[in-house]
Amino acid sequence: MANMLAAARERWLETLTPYMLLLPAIALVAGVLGYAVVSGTVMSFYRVEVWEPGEPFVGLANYIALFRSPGFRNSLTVSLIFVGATIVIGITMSMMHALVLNHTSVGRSIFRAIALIPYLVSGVAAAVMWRFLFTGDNAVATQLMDMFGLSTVSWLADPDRALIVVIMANIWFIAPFATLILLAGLQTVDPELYDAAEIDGANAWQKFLHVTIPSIMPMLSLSLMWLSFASFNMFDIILPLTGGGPGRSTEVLAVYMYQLAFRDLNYSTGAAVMIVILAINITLSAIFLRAAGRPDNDR
Amino acid sequence: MASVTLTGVNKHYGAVEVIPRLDLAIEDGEFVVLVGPSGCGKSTLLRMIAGLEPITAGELRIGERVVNTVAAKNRDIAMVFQNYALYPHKTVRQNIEFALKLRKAPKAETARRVAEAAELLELTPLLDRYPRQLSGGQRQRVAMGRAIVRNPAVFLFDEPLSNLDAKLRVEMRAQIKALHRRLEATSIYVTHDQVEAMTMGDRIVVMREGVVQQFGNPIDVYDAPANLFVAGFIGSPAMNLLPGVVDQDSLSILETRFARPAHLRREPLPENVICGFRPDAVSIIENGEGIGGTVEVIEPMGGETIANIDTDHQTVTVLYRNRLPLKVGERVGLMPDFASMHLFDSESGRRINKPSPTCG
Amino acid sequence: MTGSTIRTGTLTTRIVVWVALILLTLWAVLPIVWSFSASLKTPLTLYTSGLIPEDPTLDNYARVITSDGFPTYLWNSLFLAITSTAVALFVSVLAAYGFARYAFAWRHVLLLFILVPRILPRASLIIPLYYLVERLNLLDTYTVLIVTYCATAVPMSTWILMGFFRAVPRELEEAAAIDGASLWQRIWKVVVPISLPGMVTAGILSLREAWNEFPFVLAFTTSSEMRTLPYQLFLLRDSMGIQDWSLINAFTITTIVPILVLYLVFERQIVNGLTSGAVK
Repeated sequence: MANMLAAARERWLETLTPYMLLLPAIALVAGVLGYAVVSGTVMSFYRVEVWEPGEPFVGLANYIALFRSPGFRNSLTVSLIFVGATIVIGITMSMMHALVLNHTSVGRSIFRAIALIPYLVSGVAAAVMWRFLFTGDNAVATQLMDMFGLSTVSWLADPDRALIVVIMANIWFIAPFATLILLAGLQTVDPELYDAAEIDGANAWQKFLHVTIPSIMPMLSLSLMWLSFASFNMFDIILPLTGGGPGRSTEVLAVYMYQLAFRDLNYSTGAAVMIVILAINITLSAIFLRAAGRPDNDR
Repeated sequence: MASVTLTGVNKHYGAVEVIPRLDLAIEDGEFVVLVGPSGCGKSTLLRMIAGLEPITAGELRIGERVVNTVAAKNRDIAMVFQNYALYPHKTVRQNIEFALKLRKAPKAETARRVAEAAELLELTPLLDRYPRQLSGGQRQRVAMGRAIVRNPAVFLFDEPLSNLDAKLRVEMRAQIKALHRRLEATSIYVTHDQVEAMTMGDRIVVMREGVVQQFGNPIDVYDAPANLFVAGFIGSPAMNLLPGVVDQDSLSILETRFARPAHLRREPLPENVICGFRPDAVSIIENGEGIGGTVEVIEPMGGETIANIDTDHQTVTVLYRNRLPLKVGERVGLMPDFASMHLFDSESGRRINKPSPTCG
Repeated sequence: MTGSTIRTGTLTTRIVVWVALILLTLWAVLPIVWSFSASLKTPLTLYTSGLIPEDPTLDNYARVITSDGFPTYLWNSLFLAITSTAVALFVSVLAAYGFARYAFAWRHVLLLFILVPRILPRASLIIPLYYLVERLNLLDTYTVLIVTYCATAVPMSTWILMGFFRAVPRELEEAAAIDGASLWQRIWKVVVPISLPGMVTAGILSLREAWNEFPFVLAFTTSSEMRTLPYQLFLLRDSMGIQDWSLINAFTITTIVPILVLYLVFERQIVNGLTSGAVK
């Protein structure tokens, strides 16, 4: 086709066409996202004060202040627990969910459709619903706890338990997409491999280990990637559900950054937190991409 | 080494009956080919023997043992799959030794058997490669190696050559046969390719809709197909099946009257029959004699030529080795060779002019 | 031949699988069902009755719809979602076509440039963006929300559409070119109509993001005139005093329903669109 058109059009116009097509997209992404990253980086090296004119260059002072602040260290710890627990529980649950979905033939599409529903709900709505689950004497969670004879103290008022609630809500919210990726992976596994393994004498666990896991490795790492990014950057769930509290027990980095900038009006240090978050994201993706060995897997 | 015996074997998928009721006795050391069009139940049958598909009713024996409920891994069988089913993340060596490892065979023993199998299949230099680094033929050989290393009583093959190109297929065909002669293990081989069936099988089972149509050695099946289906399925190009009408002393084929052939003069025949002629059993003669027709297509193959002759009723395929100066569009006459005619009852489709050989 | 033993399995396996499937399905729907049930109760019966409301009422939904500002919030949400999706799709179609059909210098780098921002967390961008928006005097405007929503939607839409465009046979376009179609006509009259499932998937996913968006609207708007439904929901649950959970739950369900209906109608296409990128 290129040859045919080249005859009709100016050669240079032809060369330019793809760039013209990309221009709006590049401009949008560069203008908004690219600008934000660059400007955030710059901000983190200056002291930006809302009420004071002038923005002096302060070098690494913002970062030093940050790493000295107990609030930041607390957030880092909370984030690590939050992300770690979400990944471990989330990947287990979505793997189980994907396996059972793949195993049923009756009504699979209905169950699959239901499984993805939490992905469609907004973070705020998810947070509000989860808050309601743990509110009031009649709350589902309270009743369940009663059944197991556990104390019925309000979960959201207890620092440790609030973190558990936030983690559960987060898993509920983001694991369905991992389930979907894993299910898609399971459906590509060559059924002959299971037959071969059966004849070779593998039991169900050995089949899972020697056939399923290696066959879906790319989807597995993609799911892990999704779970860690989504929870590391989670903001929509936590702010409406606990606001970071009680105390600072659920204040993950993203929420800490928001509070720093919009409550304490400390933009520069907030920008420094942003850079820390981005750095961790980039490190995480490098690790996952290396593990997956397939650098063309985005999303 | 073991025989494989199926007695009254039956298979349902829910309400759908895939294999109605099937009896088959495969002898120890035999190479049996299950052949039929796709959907005829041959793969299902093989998978039932393998233990990958439960048997609804009936009895399956490997050797003396009834194995209906025995797990695949304990049936002492090995299987070669259509897409090879090699574990993509394991090396050739790991693929071949996987079954032995799962069985916790001693290390030295495992190594020795892998080395032997690799030697036999010329895989030794490839042992540390991954399947994706191998050609189709090499993968095929690894799949065979994985089967051999188990030293099973029965080998099962599920269309193992269908993914190879034509030249390699012929090569592998010979290799598998040679291997069978060497190992002398009972082998059951599924294919939809009748040429593969003819060339490889000690005996072949022609199947259709879950029912065995004929079971016998390839030449017998070719020479005396038990019914119209087998007649049409085995042989390439396919047999011409022409409707005929019998009366006291004549046989009309495609509305052309011939004298009733001498060897059929005393046999009681139904009025309506189907006359089967292999393409090389019809000769082309002068126009005006025999069955009239027009030359439609001529396909010279070098040694032989295939011509399609359009009679007014149906197209007849003729195969000849002499170089006839035929032209497309030319009117010719066709003379069938009645001595090698196959006669079938047009209602039941069964063969009538010679006693049918063993029919399952 | 499909249907290996691993799919059917023994009776025990089947029971275990079904129990697990039912539990996991309950897990996925329980919060929504519980919230829906509460939305049908009066504030008085809210804490006393169980999952099935004793005296179901649609009163709470009436209160939601007639509440102060609800039409404004609904309009804001709808307007922002539809406008930003339309713009994002338009921009993404061009970019996806460029990436799918042309080989050019820097193609790979530009592709990464478009796709990598996808992993930038939206919440983390609000500080520098807020600072910019404030200086441009664009706080409390539709413009800033539409632009930022588009910028975050374009990478994903481009990625999805690229896959679909690649699957359109070049011969079709060549035939159209011979018939005299310009590049512009080929894109919009040949490639896009054929890729309709991809357009639907990208469109609904982008609608979903804009409809559910929270950090940007939280950071870039202050006036109640600019609030979207999620923002209002956030404020509702954060309001002082005794929380009116019947009302809040009705509000929650109201915000979920539109996107859920869209999803259930196009479920197959969305799932295929979402997974095609992951599996290829």
